[in-house]
Amino acid sequence: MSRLRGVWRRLDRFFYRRVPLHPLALARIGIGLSLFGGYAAYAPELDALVGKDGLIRFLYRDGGGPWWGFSYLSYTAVLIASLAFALGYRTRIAGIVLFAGHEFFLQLISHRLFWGWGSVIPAFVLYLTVAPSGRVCSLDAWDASRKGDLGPLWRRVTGPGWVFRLLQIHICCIFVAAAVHRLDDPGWLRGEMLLMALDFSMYSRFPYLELYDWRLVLAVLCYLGWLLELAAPITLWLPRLRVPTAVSLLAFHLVLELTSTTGRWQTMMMSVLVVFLPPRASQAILARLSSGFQRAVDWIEAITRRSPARRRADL
Amino acid sequence: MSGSDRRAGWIRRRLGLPLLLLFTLILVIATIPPEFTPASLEPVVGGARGFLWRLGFTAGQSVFHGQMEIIKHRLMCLKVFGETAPGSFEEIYASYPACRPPVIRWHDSMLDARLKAPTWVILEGNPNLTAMLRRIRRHPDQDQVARYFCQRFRRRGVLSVIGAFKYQVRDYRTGTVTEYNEIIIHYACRQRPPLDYEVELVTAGGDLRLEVNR
Repeated sequence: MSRLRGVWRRLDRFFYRRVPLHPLALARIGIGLSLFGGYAAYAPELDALVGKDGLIRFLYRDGGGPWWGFSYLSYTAVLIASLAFALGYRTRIAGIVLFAGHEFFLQLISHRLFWGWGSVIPAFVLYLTVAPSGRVCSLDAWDASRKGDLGPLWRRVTGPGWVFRLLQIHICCIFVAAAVHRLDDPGWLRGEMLLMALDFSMYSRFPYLELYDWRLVLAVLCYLGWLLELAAPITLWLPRLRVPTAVSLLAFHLVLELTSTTGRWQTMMMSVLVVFLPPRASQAILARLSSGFQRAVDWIEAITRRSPARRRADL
Repeated sequence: MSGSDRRAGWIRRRLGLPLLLLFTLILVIATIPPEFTPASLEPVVGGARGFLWRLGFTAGQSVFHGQMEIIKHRLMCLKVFGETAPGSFEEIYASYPACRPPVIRWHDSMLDARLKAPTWVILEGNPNLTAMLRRIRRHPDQDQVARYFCQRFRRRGVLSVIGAFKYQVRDYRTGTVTEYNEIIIHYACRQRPPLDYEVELVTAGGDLRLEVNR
């Protein structure tokens, strides 16, 4: 009984210990920008896809339906909310609008336009909305400090750990879902999938690249990548292996982003993997971002101060 | 410790923690791949997936899976021609200008991907190209793609649409690459008199063109 109580206490500590908010803030910026980029990329062909005579309505009986008129509304809502979410402007409201708008858009298009990442990212939006990720490196925090309104809420840079833990667990689940089914897949077992992906019209970023003669090297890389994904759900929890695994996964997704076009899968994964890095890494990146933001604000203020209208107003 | 702190602690331990553990369990169960799900556990795994789906997301995706083939198509370009007057065709869609994919694809056009989706049956690993093409032409989505173009270009008075594609096939057994050009869609947008001409697909400088023989 006492052993059970000990386990319960340990679980309580695991889920509820307060954690620094910097990794969550960095993940929020990445997820917001991923969604913004993902949606903005559809702008030139939005009408052809989801308009009144859009392809989705012809291809999928459940696509659009009587709600197609709202597709532009939800699209615009997601664009604005994703940017606000990334910038941390009214972060929680932005997160709720982003989640709802994206879900509505997913229903309209029958989940068909996102290469799968569109059905995973809402979970991250939800976690980062529930967590006070907007308290760090955000317009909300900047506004509060400008007004001298830095109460205890804004000074606190730690938050409840349970959202952070759920995010970490969900990332591991993604690797389990991605890697385990391949144990039953002849292409993966033969190490051919990397060559096939890079040689395939649908995904390759470099369509003319001739890689067939490199198939042995690609097979080795294919096995290494697969092994990394298979091991990640375990090694990401081992203190000694956590950082090397997270860094390897970041590099892995960066290489995939540079070589293939799979929507925003890679930027999404890179954004959330920062929760496995030491918080000081996120802190350093955010410090750079903040100083860049402050420089931009100073520059804008300097310009507006020098403007004739401002000078006249000063006089 | 104040009374409210004690109450919060009690709720956290007695209610919050079990709920968190339950949600974690649902996440983990939902990731069990169908290939490895024992029949007895199927309702449980399905239930977990359904629960997350109702919340609006999935636990993960079994990305990049399925049909392992011995051939693969490359540099695929789809071109659609609309018949604006009997026997007169104009290009109304092309995956790439002059059917030439760029050296670097910065962005994947989802419209193009969806239009080509019926041709994905190529992925099913049929080394018999004739049979494969027959399957592509008969794919029910091809009619929907054609109807989409008829509707979208109705103001131009499109009578019929012809869809053709150009692609390379890599045979992984030998490494050889063969280029093909095929008409995969020929669809009448409205009722019309019988055709008094034949169309032929020709390539010029890598581009696809239609020639009409009366």
